[in-house]
Amino acid sequence: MNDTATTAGAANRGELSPLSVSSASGSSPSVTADVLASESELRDWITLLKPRVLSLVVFTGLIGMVVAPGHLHPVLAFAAILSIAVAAGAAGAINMWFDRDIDAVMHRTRNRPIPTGRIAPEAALGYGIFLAGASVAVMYLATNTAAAAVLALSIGFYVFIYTMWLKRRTPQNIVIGGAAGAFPPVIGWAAVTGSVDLVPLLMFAIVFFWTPPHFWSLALYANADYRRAGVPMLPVVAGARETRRQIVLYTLVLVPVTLAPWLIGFSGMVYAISALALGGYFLACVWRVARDRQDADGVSLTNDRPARAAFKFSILYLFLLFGALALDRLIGPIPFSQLLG
Amino acid sequence: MMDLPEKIGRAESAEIGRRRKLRNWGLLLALLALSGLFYAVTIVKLMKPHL
Repeated sequence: MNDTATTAGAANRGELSPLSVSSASGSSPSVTADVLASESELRDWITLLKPRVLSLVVFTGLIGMVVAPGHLHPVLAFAAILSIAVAAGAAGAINMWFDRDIDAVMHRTRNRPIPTGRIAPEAALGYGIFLAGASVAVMYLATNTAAAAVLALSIGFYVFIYTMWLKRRTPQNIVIGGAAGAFPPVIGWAAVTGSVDLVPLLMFAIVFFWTPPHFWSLALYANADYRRAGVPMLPVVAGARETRRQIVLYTLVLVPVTLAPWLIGFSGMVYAISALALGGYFLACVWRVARDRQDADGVSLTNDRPARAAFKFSILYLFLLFGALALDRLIGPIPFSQLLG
Repeated sequence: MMDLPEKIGRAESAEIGRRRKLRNWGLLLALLALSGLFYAVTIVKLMKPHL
């Protein structure tokens, strides 16, 4: 890491001013400053891993392992989940390295460690590459070749296909790039079974079709930010009205896809009813997005309140849907008549 | 004319040294954790060679 960048960045944030710490003093203010500096620097390195995204990645990976037929020793399962989390973080760090120019002009990302100069770009890149390699190696040692290969594929897809190729070129960036985020349940399944089956591919499809309504809901109200950075998100290129239409269309595809595990007999009624109820509510959310009060150009007159609500619910939706899938598998098939009492 | 490196003050030098020390401790802890993980994985694999 670049020390000059670190000290300059700390000063920029108005936190600890490095030059205010006297080299001659060995008193308690210096010790306090040490702790504060180490905490803020540690926070920056953690921020590079995009920790807020990790929870969903880890959760879907864990569900892939839970629903897979077979057993994995808890230590190996922990190593596998850790590998998935670290790999996702590594891809995030490399993404922040590559996108440092657009991060600097976007309101949402301009305080990230690289644009503020707190971490040097090349240090972030090295950190990302090291963690990516380490995560694949640990996955291979703890589980099997298939899981390690899919993990490596997911990192490569996110870095090369989404970050470097699609993100700045096409409004379909998050449709195709969203596949990167759909890999964790496949990796979790492969870690237990050593292969990739129809069921993990269905879980992949669920996350894949969930991604556009999720991200475009966010993009609707972060539109100005993406426009300023020149990122061709759908609302920037095709307008808010078309984006709302696409959100509804993808959700209409998503709901039947979520029923596929039940249709092929993998899961029972608990999951089917949960998927229908959650899908119905999600559809209602995106319908409100489509019916949002808007001007002639499609710009929301409600500060995109329905889009914000849909974005928030989309996260809960995926957690609950995958949670229901795991619950269904854990309690076993329950006949429909028994569910009705 | 050749660019000479900018001189840094004693306080800044101490700050850089302090940060480097903290980073080294962080790396040591991360490596110890990784070693522990490798050890645990190896023991489990040796116990259950079919995995």
